[in-house]
Amino acid sequence: MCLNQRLIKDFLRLNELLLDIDRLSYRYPGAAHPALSNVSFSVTEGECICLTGHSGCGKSTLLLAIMGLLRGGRSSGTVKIAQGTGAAPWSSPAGMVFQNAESQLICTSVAEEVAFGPENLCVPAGEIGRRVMEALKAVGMAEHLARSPERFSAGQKQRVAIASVLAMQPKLLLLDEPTSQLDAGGKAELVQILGELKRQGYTLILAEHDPRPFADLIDRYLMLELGCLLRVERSAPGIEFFHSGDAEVAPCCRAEGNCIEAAGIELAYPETGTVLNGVNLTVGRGERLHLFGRNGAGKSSLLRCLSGLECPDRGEVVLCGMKNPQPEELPGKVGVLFQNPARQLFGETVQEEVAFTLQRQGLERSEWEPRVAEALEICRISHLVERAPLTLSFGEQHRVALAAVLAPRPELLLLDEPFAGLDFPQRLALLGILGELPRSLGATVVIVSHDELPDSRWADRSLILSGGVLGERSC
Amino acid sequence: METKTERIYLWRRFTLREAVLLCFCATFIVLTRAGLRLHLHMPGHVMFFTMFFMLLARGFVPKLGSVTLVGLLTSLTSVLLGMGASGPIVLVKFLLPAVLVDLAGFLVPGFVTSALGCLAVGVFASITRAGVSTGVEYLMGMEEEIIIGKALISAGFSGLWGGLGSLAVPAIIRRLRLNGLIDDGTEGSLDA
Amino acid sequence: MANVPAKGGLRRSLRSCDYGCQFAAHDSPVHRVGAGTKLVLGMLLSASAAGGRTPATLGALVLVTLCYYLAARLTLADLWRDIRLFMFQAALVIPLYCLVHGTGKGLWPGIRISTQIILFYLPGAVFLRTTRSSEVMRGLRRVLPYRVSFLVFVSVRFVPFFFREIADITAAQRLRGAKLLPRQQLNPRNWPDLFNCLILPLMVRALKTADEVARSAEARGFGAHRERTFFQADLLIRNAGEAGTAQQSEPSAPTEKLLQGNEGRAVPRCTTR
Repeated sequence: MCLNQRLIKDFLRLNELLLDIDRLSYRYPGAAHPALSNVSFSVTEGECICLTGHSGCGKSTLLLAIMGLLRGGRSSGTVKIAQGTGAAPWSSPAGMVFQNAESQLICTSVAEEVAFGPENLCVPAGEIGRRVMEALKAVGMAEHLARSPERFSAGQKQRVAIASVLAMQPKLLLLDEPTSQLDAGGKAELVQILGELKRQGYTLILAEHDPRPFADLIDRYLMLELGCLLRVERSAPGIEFFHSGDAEVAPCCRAEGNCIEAAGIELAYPETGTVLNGVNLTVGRGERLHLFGRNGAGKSSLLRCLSGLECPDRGEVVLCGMKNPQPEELPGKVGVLFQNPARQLFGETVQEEVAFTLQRQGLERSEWEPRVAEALEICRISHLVERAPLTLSFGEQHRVALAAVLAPRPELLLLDEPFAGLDFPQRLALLGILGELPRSLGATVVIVSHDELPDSRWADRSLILSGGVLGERSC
Repeated sequence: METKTERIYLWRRFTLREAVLLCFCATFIVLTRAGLRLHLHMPGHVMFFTMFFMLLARGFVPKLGSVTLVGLLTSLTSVLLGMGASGPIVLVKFLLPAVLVDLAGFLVPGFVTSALGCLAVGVFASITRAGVSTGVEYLMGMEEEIIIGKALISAGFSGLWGGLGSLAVPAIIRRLRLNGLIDDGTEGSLDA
Repeated sequence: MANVPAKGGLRRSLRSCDYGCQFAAHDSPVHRVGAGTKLVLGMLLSASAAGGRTPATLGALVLVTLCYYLAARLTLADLWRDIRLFMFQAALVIPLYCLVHGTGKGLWPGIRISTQIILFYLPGAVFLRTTRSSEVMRGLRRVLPYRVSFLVFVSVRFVPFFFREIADITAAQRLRGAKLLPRQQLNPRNWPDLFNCLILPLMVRALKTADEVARSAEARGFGAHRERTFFQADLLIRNAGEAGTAQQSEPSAPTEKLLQGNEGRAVPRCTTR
């Protein structure tokens, strides 16, 4: 190839380049280690890139750096975003959809939300209306213009968030853990939408610790670890990355008698209608049960009925021998861990946090201290005993909350979406801890989730909640 | 190495994050006001959480004007949610104690970590709020003696509840600062 | 199996709009009057309350104000919810007058003043009950700088969010043994639970959410320019509704009921601010 041809080829290639990152480093204020360290890569127009790696590897930080949203720390290196070919006037070069759609939506109607970005860009009012309709049609939400996102499902909120970014007509779309709150159906819808956007010429960068649903879309995988770019791959991370390995699953420890006996549970809300339609549930002592169901199926409502937080319209619940118990009767016998359990942390130290229920039960220090140590040991966080819970990482806080629930040695443990926000190794580790509980504490464990378990061998029995009724699933 | 700083968003002092945080303090005042109204119906009891969240706002964003912004947002949000039947007076009802808390913060910047400081400010700000409706009562022809008597009773209850609510603030502020979740307010000219 | 009534408390009471001055979503002559006109009318009525010094004038004022109230097709139950706070004030004022002047001379002035105070505030209640929040918001956007009106709207938007957070945190902590029920909180010895187990985690959540909201707004260019387009979304909603492409909103929580899109109003102008 002669020099002129090479120069023309380089010139054309440069024109296609949408994002160029050169030796980017970033350190959060007061952090001991950098969150990003000499990261360099480029993205061409129309590509779909996946940033992947375990929790804490720097995926979200990198996306924020691309958007120019990092504040208060120290950075070096450069991030260059081109306008892209055919960029519209009054457009933003990049748009980002955050992990938590709930707090991303800041307006009171879908129309206002999607119009928010163009308003900020001083797009003329007439043009805004057109963009709003286009963006909502692209995500299949055009008929929900007037509605408040308040009662939307996680998937719908996600779609409105995407539309609100599309209305700014960016060439580069960044999505941070977009599937974290979605069930299988929601993920499939999202894959479809992103596929269509890619076909329309959008450049996509996804930060995902589990990129498998997007395998058909992704052109390149950028593997990150501790803020460094390890390698770039063209194919999905190996199956062993998501394999539970040959780790042994603790054997079944069924004992005599039942821990949960729920009969004829019915529950309806004025806004959504019947949620539970005659649910019958029997769980034996020492059993490990997985209760599966899509978002909105009523799993959390069932859990609230079992724990006495919600009075069913009909039906009876017997929990560890207590008939229709009130929540105040459960501490010590039943432990309940809701989604995002870090929300309940308040102690000055991990020890204080974990000891709370035991202290409420009137135990002396000499009695609760060994139990706390036992719970921390089970959750593999004994080294954190003197740390302040609010300063810990998300995964560590998760375990502290679990330890707090285990410390009273409950007979029954109910967990609502315990894997939300955790990466695959963390999920596997948590499942391992939960699998041991029937043997170590004699506890019955019920996991409620919209995702498959990281290890399908864990559950002694699996049920599905659909149409307001429970049915058996083959394990 | 470059240090990236937050952009100033409002009134030449508040970043967007700080402004949103203050707006949430207003949300909490409105929420607790609605909830307590339904259950207790005791005179002055809404000052319990009003003063609590106003003082907390001062602890979150120790800058002059932070609590005034909370007062302004609370009154406007109350009107939007149908809790502002008193019309423009609702503005004064929240702005007056808010301005007083800001003034206290300007004079004694570190008072939010002192129980005595919070108690004094909480009681005083609550008492002054009780006098807001005296103007209307005077216009209606109420006798001064009755106005004063009513104001004293109102002020007494408001001051009591406001004082109680303010006592919890130092512990919360200290815990949040200890965990690095909020600044300790010692950097730069925060009261500019 | 017998029906078990659902648990009550803050959630149900807020959802059922128990507190006064909530927007009444029906049609009436007063609903159809413009917000500005209602505001002026209300101010006139409120000012006239000062003139009700004799039984005749007071009676006339009561009649006029009641007619205004009932013309908005508001019920006596609504009236009670709107004035019950002022009834507590009356319970203070009337005894004070009787104490100072004796029952014979003090009763009438006490009743008069209490009635005048109610008459002063009642037109404001009518305004709130007959004016959609979207109209009030539109008015606010015209009057306030956008950086302040944005904060007001975020404050309103996150009322149901934090209401849910309070409910969720309370549920989780009750199951750990914290004493957070209203009847338990009547005992001051349980107040530390309120602050440690509920308020503190709630504040941590607020701090985190403030970060996320600020980032979300900034990521969409908010605050980057001095000016900002003022787009009236309810016009788009109305046009889409007429074209049959938009679903009607389904209000459930009080804030949703208040924040319905506009229907059947004059077409507002789109302006750039």
